[in-house]
Amino acid sequence: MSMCKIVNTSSRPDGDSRKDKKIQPDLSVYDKDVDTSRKVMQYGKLQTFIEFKPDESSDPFCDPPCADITSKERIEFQFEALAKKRMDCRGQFASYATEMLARQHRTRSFSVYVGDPCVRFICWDRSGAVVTEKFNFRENSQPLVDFLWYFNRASEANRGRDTTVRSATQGEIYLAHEYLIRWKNEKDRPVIVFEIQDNDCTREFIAWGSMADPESLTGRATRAYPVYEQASGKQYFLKDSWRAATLERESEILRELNEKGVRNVPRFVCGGDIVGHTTLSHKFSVEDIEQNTPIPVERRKSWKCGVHKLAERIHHRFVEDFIGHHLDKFTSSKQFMKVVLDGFIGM
Amino acid sequence: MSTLRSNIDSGSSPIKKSIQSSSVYQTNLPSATKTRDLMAKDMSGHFIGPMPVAEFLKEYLSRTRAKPPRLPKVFNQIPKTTVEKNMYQSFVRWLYISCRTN
Repeated sequence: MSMCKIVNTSSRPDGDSRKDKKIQPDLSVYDKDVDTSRKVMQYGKLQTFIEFKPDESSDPFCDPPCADITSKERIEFQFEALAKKRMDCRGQFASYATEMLARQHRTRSFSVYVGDPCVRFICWDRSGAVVTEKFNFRENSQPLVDFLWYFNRASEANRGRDTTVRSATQGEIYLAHEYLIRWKNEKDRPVIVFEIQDNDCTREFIAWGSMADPESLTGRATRAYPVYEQASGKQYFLKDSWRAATLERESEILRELNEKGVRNVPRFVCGGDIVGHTTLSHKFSVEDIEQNTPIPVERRKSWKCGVHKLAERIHHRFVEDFIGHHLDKFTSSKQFMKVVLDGFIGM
Repeated sequence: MSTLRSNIDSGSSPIKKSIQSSSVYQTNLPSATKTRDLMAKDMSGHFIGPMPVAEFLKEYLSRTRAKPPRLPKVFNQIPKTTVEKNMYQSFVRWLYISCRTN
């Protein structure tokens, strides 16, 4: 692959992962300029991964036996395989994807399942995962060639990288080491820079590791960072999450609480929803029939098996002026109860 | 039971124990094998498929006007084996060949 390189990581866990997350896919795909001589497995740099099984017996999913089954049969069909070995394989893929999304800032990620002779592609986001039908790569390699060819040429954003986050410059790394050392992560984490729109200008915030990583693949996936803004010379607290589209924006709630003069809540600085960052999986999960048109339109995908209810999620990121402490850092039960009381007063 | 009933009647979400809510401050971290099991359960009902491959590529990746090379038989030269790690080397070799073409 001209813009990417493929590395055998099957027996090389990521040293920067937590103790219980020493898991690694068989083949990892990186940008070709990533140095893998010292650290072979790097979830923080992973572009996509490929997991091999020698046969089909671990296939995490079941396709319907024939294409022309009725819609009722499709609704009742069990797409997620239930055998222990196959559930384990599904959990294995989800573990890799969860660690990849937790260690990077991405809107989605891709993976490839190879259970000789079958292949499936999976796209993961914070709503769920879209899985392709299986195809036999020994009879027809073309879909696999197509996927790799398009992936190799896709833009960073199309591959799923969050383009509102960038690597820090040497000067910014120096500032992080000076102003954010107090919250340094015990594992090696890169210094990054978040861009946030504030009316007509873009503000940049330097961060060095989150205070906690998401453990689940789906859901809000909240990450909180102590950050430093070079332009103002101030430290702030940044919250990055994927809110359900049906719920209110936390930034708006905070802004309103500030306007009403509510005590014991942080002051809102800037941020909100990120334009264009919404999940896609939920789009393929719809079950209902559109009734508001002259002719009812069935929106359920004709190929879909089972019944789903996935939430549409929108990427939400804002900055406030108060940096919290970890829950396990209180020095006495009195201090802890005082914090709870302050919270109640705020409510 | 009354609490469960009132949750259902109110239309609010029932309390659900998830990996997210249970792992953050626990001292006994689960093994990788146990995590697989937990992840499979956590993700249950979140997999949508089976989507046709052409639709998947169109939705997510195929943004260029250029088209991939026609190589429908390129991967059938990979030797059949019962040991998965024996597949990697030849698979990677053919991956590079297919992506360099055109």
